Amino acid sequence: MINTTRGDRSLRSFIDTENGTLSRELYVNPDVFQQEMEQIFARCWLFLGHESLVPNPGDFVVTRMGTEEVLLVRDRKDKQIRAFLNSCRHRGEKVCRYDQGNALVFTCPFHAWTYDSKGQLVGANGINNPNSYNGELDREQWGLVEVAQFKNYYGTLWATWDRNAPSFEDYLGPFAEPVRYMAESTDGEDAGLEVFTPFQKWRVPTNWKVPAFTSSRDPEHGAMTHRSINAAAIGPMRELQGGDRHRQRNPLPRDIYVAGDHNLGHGGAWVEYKQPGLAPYVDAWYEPGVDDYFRAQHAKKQEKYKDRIVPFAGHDSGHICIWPNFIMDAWRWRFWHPHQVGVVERWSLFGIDKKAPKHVKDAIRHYAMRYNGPSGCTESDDMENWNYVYPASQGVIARQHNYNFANGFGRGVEREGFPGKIVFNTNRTEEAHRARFSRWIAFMEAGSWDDLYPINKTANHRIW
Amino acid sequence: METPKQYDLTGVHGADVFRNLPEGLTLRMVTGAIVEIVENARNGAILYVRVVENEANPSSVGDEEYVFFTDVKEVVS
Repeated sequence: MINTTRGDRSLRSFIDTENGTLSRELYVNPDVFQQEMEQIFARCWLFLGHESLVPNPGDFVVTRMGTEEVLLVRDRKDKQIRAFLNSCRHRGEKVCRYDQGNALVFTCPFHAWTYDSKGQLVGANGINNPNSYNGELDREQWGLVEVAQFKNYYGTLWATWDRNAPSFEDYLGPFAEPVRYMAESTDGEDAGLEVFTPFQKWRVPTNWKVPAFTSSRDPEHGAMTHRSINAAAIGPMRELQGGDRHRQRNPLPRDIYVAGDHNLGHGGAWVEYKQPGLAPYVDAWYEPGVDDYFRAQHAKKQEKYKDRIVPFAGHDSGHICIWPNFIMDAWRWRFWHPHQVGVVERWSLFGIDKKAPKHVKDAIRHYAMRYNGPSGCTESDDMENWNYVYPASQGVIARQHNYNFANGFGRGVEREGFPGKIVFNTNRTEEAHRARFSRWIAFMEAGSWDDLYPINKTANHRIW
Repeated sequence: METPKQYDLTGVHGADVFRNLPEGLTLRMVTGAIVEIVENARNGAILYVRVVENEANPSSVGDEEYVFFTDVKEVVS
């Protein structure tokens, strides 16, 4: 039940599955937010970052899982990457207050409880003093809190706090191959990317679901929201940015859908190619030599895929959302860390071939900067919308009027041969957004993973 | 042996001196053990050391451990 100004209501009553609408209360109510942290962010597999952020022993990055900071660190001895809650086991102080770096140990500034890069307690003030701990503090028991499951998936790093969560591959389901594909370098090499560092992160005064649920495959926002920047053609597609680039870059026969997996919550662009191979490379860059590099890389990738059909989200298809807060396309990985009901922190990682020469890395980095983030020309358009959605939805009158999620409502179809509850709809609909809410209500109501697909293989979470 | 002047761990500069102690230096612990710095965390608080001499516990010679600055009495050489 959720406490509202108009009485207690069940979560399900906020979603009008007959008409494709849902209450703004779900975006502005603090009780909903707190339940989301417990029901969703404490149980889901969440994206933490990329292995190239911590290339050397002792390297660390402070990332987040929901509202909590997580220390991502590569061990100095076995070189493995692990993730720990950034909170001392003694009194809860942060053991690391830097964003990124390299450390021998993490020493709490309160009582000097000290942890090594495996998270083990290795020291504290007074640990051997006969008048203090007297050697009785159990170092094995009082290490940093480690995530329950961790996965390095082709260089992308994921974790969950729930030891009963399914395997990461089962969690992704049919979306595993597209994630793998998008972590390839431009010549088709698995895990061939690195990300730029430092990366972009900033806070946006809105509810996390505003961008995380509806910024993946939301084609009807582009013409209005990005009209000016599309006209300016900031590239790299130059004049093709206005709408022709996909026809030129992606001429293989294909069917284009918006698909939402109502059981898994993932979804977005779903392009079914009808033949193996990749389309020819199309020059797109202003900077000298950049097209030469990518053209040569593309030829290698064409060779790899000459007899294979690329995954449905590959090859310039658009982007997909991995439930609950990660949006991915071939060069840009965006994730949304909730802070409060009306504050979300956005992180953006930009992938570039590890082996690319400096002039290519510079071109990609410059493009990423002028396109993305608070100073980027395109995402600043989006932020203006996200920022105003929240205050305009908070009022007592506003809360009485549902959001409309009905684009394509009732037209989606399930198809033979696809697992779970994947609903295919026409390519400019909000099917993937609706799938997010099918999964959302399933998580909010579930007592444990036993109630949730894919642990519960017979579950049907589709609500609309 | 007198503490080398540049490694005086007392006074207002003690923390900064401790933070920059180089690897290879030997220290006397408050327990009397002599240790060698293997790695300095450079946070002004923690060193990773190897035990060189320890009359109270000879079997610990060769052990490596983390020590807190209050465990260190002085720099030997």
